[in-house]
Amino acid sequence: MTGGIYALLGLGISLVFGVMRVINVAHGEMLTLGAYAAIFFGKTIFSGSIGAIISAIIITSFAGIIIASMLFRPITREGSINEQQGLVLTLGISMFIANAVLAIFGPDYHSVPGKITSGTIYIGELVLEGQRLLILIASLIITALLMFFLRFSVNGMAIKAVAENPDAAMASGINISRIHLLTFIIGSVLAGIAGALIAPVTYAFPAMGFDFTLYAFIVVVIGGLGNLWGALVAAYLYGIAESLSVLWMPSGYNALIGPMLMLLILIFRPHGLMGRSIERT
Amino acid sequence: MESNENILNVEGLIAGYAGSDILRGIRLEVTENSISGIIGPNGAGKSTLLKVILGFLKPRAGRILFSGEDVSSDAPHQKIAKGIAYVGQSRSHFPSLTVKQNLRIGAYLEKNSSIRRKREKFVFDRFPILFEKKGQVAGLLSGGQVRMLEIGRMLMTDPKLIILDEPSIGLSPVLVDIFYEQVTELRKGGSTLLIVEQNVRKLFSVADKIFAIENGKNRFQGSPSELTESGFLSHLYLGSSIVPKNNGLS
Repeated sequence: MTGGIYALLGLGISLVFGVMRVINVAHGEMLTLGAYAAIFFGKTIFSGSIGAIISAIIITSFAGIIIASMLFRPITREGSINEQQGLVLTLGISMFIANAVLAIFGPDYHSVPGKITSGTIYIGELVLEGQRLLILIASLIITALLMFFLRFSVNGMAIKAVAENPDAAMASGINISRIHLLTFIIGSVLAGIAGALIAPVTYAFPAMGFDFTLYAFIVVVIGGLGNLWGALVAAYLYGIAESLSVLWMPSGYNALIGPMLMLLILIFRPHGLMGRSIERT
Repeated sequence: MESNENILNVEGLIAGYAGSDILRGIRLEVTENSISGIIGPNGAGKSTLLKVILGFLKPRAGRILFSGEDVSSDAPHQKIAKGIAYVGQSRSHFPSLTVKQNLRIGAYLEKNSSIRRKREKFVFDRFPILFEKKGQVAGLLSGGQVRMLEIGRMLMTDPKLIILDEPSIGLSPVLVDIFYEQVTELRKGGSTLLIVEQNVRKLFSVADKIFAIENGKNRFQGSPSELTESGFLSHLYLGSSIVPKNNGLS
């Protein structure tokens, strides 16, 4: 299950970095927004998990639109975003969102309604919890949809084009700002969905985004910066490694698996499992 | 001069970066169905000029007229939509996409799929090797094939004005000849081209009019033969002390 969540996060951050060359420190905060949207709307307007996910999508895409069109555009010159300013900007956004959530919802941990299934399935020796399995399936479906979109639709191709060669993309008539906007929305929504998905199985608190931002980074570093398939593979590997680590590690230390893997990769294969060196004209 | 008959008119262009001016009042006139060339030593402002024409850089003063319409402050994608096409110095294609996808991106703005198919067929007819390799990832193509792909991608935008930035750079002499054959074919087909070139000899063999630029200003305009006869070339590139009497400024 965690692999699936990491995949959604990793893909989002990889996309945003690849296309916009922005390190999105606020990525985890999109997940926070998704989780809180699921809580808020799940309790009041929409009941049930589907409604929670939809509300997460709406809220995060809204946030993505505002951020990309109002905050990123002013620092975009000739189609590229100033990287230092982008970093500071996302840092500010992440602090803003975390504190806004704190102010609105308070510091308490919230649990979330909307478990679709609460059963467990037994396959031979394995015990699979229903909800977690659902999360895995949902993230696999969404990931597949995303890859499909990128590969076969014109705008998906345009996104890849802008990531690879923004000048040639502009010369083909692609509106770079619009593609930035689209990419950022996709990244944010992916994180938001992840938030809505995991909210039922864990607690939501204002600072939750930070951990997930970290996980997202670990995943893309392991997989190779800018390489989407790498992020996918890395995400699931990491998820599995983390789960297995409880077998041999003293509990409480398994959060170290991520950084450990990242360190190993940086030492032995710095461009990631599947990354190539990122050359941009 | 007749500014409405020309495909492109650049008047009094002043532009630069961070406080300094690279272009100091440039003018250009490009007539329809012709090949115009821009030459000049390094640092003369040729790349900056192209950047401004294409919309990558905003001019501080002056105008750019495209078929009479003022496009001075248009963004690049707007100019592409109006029919200005561009093949740059550094790679102007997408190595991770297939040949077919590269061409598809070229036709990004065209919503009508049958028009897109027609343009694609035109490109494949002109470059059969691209058709052979249409499913291949562009990163695996040879240097000459990449150049063809870049022209193909550019043709997918159905351009009225084709701007080429130092097209012979990095090409072997054989490929340069092949490339310029294509340029001549394009003109025969009715296209208008504006070419920035270091390979002056090759450019002179196809161009109708040449604009020589130095230090951000026009130094000479005329046909290739006028330019050669005036002895201006040696001044321009070698800094000789021969300054031509008739410098062709009209």
